[in-house]
Amino acid sequence: MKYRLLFFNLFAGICALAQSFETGLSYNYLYAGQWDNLIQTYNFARPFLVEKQPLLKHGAQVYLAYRFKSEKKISHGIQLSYSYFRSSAENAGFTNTLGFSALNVGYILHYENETLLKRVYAELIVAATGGRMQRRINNAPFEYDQKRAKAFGIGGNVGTKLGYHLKINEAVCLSPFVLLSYEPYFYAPDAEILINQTRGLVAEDWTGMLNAQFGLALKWR
Amino acid sequence: MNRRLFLKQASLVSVGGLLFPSGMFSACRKDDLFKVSAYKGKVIVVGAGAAGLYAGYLLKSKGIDFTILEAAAYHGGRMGKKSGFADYDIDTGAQWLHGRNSILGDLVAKNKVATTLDTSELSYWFNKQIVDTLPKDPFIFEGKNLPDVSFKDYAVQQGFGDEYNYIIEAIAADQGAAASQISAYWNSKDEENWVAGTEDFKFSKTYFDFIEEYIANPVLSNIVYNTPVKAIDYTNESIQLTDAGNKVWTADKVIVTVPVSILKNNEITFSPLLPATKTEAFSKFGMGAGMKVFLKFSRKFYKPVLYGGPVCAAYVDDSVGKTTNNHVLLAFVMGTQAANLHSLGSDNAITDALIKELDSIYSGQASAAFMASSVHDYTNKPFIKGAYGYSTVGMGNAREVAAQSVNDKLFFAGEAMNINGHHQTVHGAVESGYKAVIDVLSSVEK
Repeated sequence: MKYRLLFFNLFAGICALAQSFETGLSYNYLYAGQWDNLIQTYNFARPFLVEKQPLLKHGAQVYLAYRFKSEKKISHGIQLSYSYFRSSAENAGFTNTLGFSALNVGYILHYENETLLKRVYAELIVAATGGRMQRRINNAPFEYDQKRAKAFGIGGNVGTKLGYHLKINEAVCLSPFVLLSYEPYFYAPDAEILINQTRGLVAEDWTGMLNAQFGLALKWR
Repeated sequence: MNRRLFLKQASLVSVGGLLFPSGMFSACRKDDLFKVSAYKGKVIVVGAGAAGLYAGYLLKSKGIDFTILEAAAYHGGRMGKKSGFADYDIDTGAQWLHGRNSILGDLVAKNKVATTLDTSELSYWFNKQIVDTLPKDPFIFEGKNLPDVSFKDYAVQQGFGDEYNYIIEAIAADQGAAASQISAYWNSKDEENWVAGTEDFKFSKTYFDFIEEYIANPVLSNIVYNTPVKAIDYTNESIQLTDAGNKVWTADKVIVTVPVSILKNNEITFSPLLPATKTEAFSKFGMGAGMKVFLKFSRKFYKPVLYGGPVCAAYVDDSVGKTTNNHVLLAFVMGTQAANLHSLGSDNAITDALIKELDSIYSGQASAAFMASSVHDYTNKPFIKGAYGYSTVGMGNAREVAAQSVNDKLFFAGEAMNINGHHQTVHGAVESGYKAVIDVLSSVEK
């Protein structure tokens, strides 16, 4: 009972402070130059794999955001997002799959001006990123030395988002949005080991990523 | 908002969202390294070892005209096999697949090539006794901040006495070197980039069979045997290579994959002369003597792996991973010990020296059970002259310099030219081979 009360009080407090809660789902298009180079090298060097490994381009993101109450046109909040990208090539006896997961924790600066922009809003998002890349062969995690092959990395993220409010009722609205972001994934020393099975032959131990997202958010005011 | 307005707005956003990315993706998608892979020039690959074979295999897959000039009457370089010595084919050259996280690991996995993880326990001949553990761990040559001194000197600095000499020698032998010549610092720097994994695998057949089936077979028709290249003139646009029979070959690009011993000894003359930095880099490589001696016995009396013999620092049970009723012990001899055995002058003398040492270790059981030997002395091979390239004291960036191309015409590959920590291995040679082909095509795109 006391936990229920605690939860209720916490929730009520958050609601009192909040201007809006938001959750969204988006399609992500990724451009990561160093990783592209690694996958291209992997493909070039392995003619025995007829089906080429696609570049790590396509993914999805889900996020939760919480914006603090404000009477001004500019408000701010926090956001937690999870993205996943996948690339798979199926060859006879050898299906190679790369998966990249990233968790972002960020700060949102939200601007809306109904007089000037009508239902359009803009956001600046600055976030920290932690990511993990994995490799699977024939649908099983690739292991060597009795350990799963994986590559961790950390970076930052700065993005701008443009969205549009489609009101469903006074409390809830849908919001299609476009987000463009740049992510200096500045420490990813094992990506080359995971993708091309080398170190220092092809790429640097970091990559810059450009991310374009197209998605839909559900907002509660 | 009314329903009509909502639907109109939503459909506009959806269509825009679908059209914009799909157009962008089709323009950007590019999983090939080169826009133009159909290079019309002629490439000559000098040497049909692992690097040369893989370079050829890759060139063939890209539809590029190439020829491999091989000095010997056979291909494979430091890989080979011998049938008939035992009831299985023995690997006369490279034997272990070092780690699974490599391009050859992928090739093994794709084709489900039968391999066995070698989990042989290590024992030591220490103070004239066979022991399974040592008072001090002798594996001290990995990690950062090691001094640029030889393994031998570093072991002394770390307090290892003379009783460890041949154990340190065995650890150096694993790098194809004598303990007095290999650099603790530069070897550890090389090892920093090793990412293939630490497990060793043995092929149920042989390493040579594996390379033969999946890499060499497609390019056999492109190999010209018994053609040692003696001179390479890259003065003009068209490069001229002269072989030992004075036949002249022409090419637009040349990939040189001969062992670094051949380059160190100036057995190929270059015109114009190679840059001084490059010849100096070649000279900094060590490439010691190396031999494998297979000893067949009527029964097994020996340890799976024994380090520390004064004549041969590493004995290995060769039958591990093979389907066999035979008992074959491999004497893996490198560096000064290999040079000493080489100087005995005959296979019989080499075998006698090894049997004598095994008798002293195993109380006379070796000579009682001895049946036959097969000696493979790489120092004797005229187009190889040693085991493999290692980093000597004062090595510096010699490996990087040695591997650099010259004038976008000459490209260098081979195990010693592997700049990413996988030198001294077949998969490292393969990586250097594909890197050379990438460099060739990059030079064309410039």
